[in-house]
Amino acid sequence: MDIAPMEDEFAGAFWQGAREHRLLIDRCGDCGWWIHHPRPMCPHCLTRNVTPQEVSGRGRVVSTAVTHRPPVPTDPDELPVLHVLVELDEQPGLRLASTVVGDERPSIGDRVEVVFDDRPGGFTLPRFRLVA
Amino acid sequence: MHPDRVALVGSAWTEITRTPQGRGEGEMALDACLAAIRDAGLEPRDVDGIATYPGGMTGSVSSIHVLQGLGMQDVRWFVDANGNGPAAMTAVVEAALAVAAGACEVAVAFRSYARPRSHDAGAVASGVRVPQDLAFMMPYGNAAATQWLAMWATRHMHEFGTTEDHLAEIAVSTRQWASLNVRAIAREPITAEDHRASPYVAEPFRRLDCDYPVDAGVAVVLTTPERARDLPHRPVLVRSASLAPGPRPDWVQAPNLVEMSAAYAARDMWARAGGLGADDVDLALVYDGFTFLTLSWLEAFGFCGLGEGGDFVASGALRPGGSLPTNTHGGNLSEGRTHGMGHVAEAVRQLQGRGGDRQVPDARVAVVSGGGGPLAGAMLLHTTEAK
Repeated sequence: MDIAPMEDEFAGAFWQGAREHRLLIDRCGDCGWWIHHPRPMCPHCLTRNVTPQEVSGRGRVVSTAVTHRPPVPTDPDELPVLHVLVELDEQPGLRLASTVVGDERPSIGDRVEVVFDDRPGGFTLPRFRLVA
Repeated sequence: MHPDRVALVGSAWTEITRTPQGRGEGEMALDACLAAIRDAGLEPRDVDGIATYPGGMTGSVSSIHVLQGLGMQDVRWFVDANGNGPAAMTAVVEAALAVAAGACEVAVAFRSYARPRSHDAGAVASGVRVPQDLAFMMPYGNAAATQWLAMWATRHMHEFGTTEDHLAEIAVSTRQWASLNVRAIAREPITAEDHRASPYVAEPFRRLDCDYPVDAGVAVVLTTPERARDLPHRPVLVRSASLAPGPRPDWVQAPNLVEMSAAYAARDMWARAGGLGADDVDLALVYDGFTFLTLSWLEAFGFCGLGEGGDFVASGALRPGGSLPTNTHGGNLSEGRTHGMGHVAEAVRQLQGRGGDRQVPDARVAVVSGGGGPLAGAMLLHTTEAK
């Protein structure tokens, strides 16, 4: 998978954090709301007091999909792709779209924690592994 | 928008083809628009408004292409509805608003799209960098609506017991309607067994859950109810329309993972429906880029409760002769992916009583929808006059 994220002024901190194997999510310094996808303002306070902070990387699976016929060039060794939507423990509804590592198929409700996958393209994908 | 200020008076499709036929998006746009304008009893010189979707990306053309190509002299308003929005429905709603506001009197809304010739539609070249929110999805290979909506379908199945057999019934019933439509790209009847034997693309979606990519142009013509009285066919009035996306329209961060933006657009549409309700609807033309979208839209419009879509479709309601004839042209699934403009054109033909072999008897009220996930547009159309 060669599609790389664009590390622009909003998303750059997330991807730089991933490169350092830290999961960083924007957070409002006034009300404490976690903001993802990144936005320059807090949608509740409408202030710009928003900075990336490290999260636990733990959460649970809220949905899944399994790609057999990928829409983008994909290493056959990585098929099928086990997609997950993960809701992080920090806040209800704070979700990441990601994939799980390993062969075991995830199910809704499974607990997961973040792992970092350094890709050949020079970026790092936060992915998840199933935990007991 | 205010009720009954706009009438749909013409509609037309080009031939629908699955393989390149040497006719590109530009020629199809002119063919579809000219045919729809003449279907309305008008000529291009009568048109003073144009709207299109997408009208700006590879494979489509701008409104200006049609203005120039059909020699329109007096266009006063146009829009290329690219970007976020419920696909072709966006162009129709924008055109309706323009007519209602007096920005133009006769508008043509079209969708013409020719698939890329060199690779499969939807495929994304490698080595690209993607911006903004898509950057949080595409690097995972999570790059197509198939996958984004598969995750919504999985969640629906988890919460409500919806099954792949329910999705199969939608594929089967939609194909039954398509078999009555000579224009449809896929007319061979299919069974639930065919669906089960169809390979997974992105679980839980099989190939027969996905729409059929085609090259086609489709157009509709809108004008005021006053002007419509002088035209050849029964006017189809826009009772209500909404593009309400809800508070957090997003493939990943939506408020919940079972009600798409569809729920908000449909609710807003009914709130301005002037007394009409779900029980008054004779047929539904709901966006079906995937079988699951049909189910989700039927729930959104209130033909059944949230989570009851599986049982509703299993009753056979959607089939010819069923209690809610749905996607009577065969939808995106079987007529072909016209990004929802086919749904609008079919609603117009049915309500005009020009549905041919698939005419729903005494059809007077139809819902039409576009989009899925965070994209939603809903229209309530009706006709009162006999002509």
